[in-house]
Amino acid sequence: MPLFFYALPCSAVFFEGLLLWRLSRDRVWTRYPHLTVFVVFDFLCNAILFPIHRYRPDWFAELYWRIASISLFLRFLVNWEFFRGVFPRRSTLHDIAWKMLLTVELGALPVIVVLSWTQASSAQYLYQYFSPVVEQYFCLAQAILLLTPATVAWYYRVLLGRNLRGLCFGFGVYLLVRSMSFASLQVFRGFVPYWRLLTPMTFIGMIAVWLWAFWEYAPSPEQASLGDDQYSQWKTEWQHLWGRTMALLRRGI
Amino acid sequence: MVGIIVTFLVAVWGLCLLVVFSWRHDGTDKYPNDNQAHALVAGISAVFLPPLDAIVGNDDYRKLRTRPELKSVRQMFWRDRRRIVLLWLGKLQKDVHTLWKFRRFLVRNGLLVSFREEAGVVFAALVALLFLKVVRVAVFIFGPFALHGALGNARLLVERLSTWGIAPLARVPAARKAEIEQKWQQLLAMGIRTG
Repeated sequence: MPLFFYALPCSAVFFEGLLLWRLSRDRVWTRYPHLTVFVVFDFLCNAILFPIHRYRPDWFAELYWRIASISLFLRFLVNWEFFRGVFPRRSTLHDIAWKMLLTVELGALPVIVVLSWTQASSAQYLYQYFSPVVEQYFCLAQAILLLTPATVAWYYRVLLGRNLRGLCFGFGVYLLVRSMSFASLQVFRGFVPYWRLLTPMTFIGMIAVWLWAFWEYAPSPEQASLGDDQYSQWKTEWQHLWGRTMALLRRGI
Repeated sequence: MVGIIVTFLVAVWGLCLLVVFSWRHDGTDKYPNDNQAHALVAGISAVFLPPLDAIVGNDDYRKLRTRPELKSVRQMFWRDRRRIVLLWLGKLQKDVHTLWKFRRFLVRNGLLVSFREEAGVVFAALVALLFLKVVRVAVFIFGPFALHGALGNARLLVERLSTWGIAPLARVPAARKAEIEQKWQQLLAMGIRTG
């Protein structure tokens, strides 16, 4: 592998490490737990891939695509983080944004499903588990999920704060460029070398934007007004939910 | 192929939106409000102007038309009336914007509204703005006396929007109402983007 292609995963891991360091300062991660889970997962998996590539190269492809598949679903956590960050408590705005999200998704999701169903992948299967078409439309659906609350927030002039603004911008650009690059893969025959470069670079770009955004804790005014008691209430609810889930799982097993 | 075109269109549209969202993020207005000094709660000023007939009534114009020797006066009268009507329509447009902003301000401040109500207000405001723009162009082309009915409808649209827009305010207690009005006036005075 050329040195340049080593530089890309190395810089991704480096930026993710820096981002985790910033998130761990002043316990910012407790305010953005879903985002932290996504970053921790990607950081650990990317870091593990280095020794795998060195010592067990036969495992590499299998593991790489498995991680990519899980990461695809974990991106919904970032969507949720953005929504709950912009509308942190039950209010009129929260309800309107939620209904707007449902309306848009009810309209857009069937269209996306039909389009992805009818579109055959002209590119070879790059992913082991699903076609690039799935990735293309997943990115599109996640982008719509992100843009809908962002539009509601913009319409009502809800101030986002540096953290959420960076989160939205970085993630939005990443999803949309990724979706376009996967679509280009279907149309332009000679796009594969550029795609190989563009895909990791958009990810690194997103992490760099997030690093800028989370360099200091700057939440939205609404989020900042939430007291610690609200967070401890969430924590209790979460622990209760977790306990019930584990009990159900144990009973099932 | 349709899917790929849709993907590109949505992606470009989304990227444009992201740029717009990232623009002017601090909530300050580029241009301070010019009607802050005498701002009403919801800025409904132009609809309370003198009766419509006083602005677009064509009795005087018809009298002038019967006198060919007063052609230049008639033309001047026509131009002046057109300028006044355009100015009035501009004020109505400004009112719609202010009402819309005020409505968003109310919702942002936690006043109870339903999703359907909100969608209705957005639709009504968009229709009103579009109608006013079309009427302005028509008045510019055909003159101030040709669209008497349309001008009346424009006024009605804005009045209806005004009633809908400030309706949630009627449902709050007086103390809270006073607080909201004060906050709104403060925002206007500070030149902060209000909606």
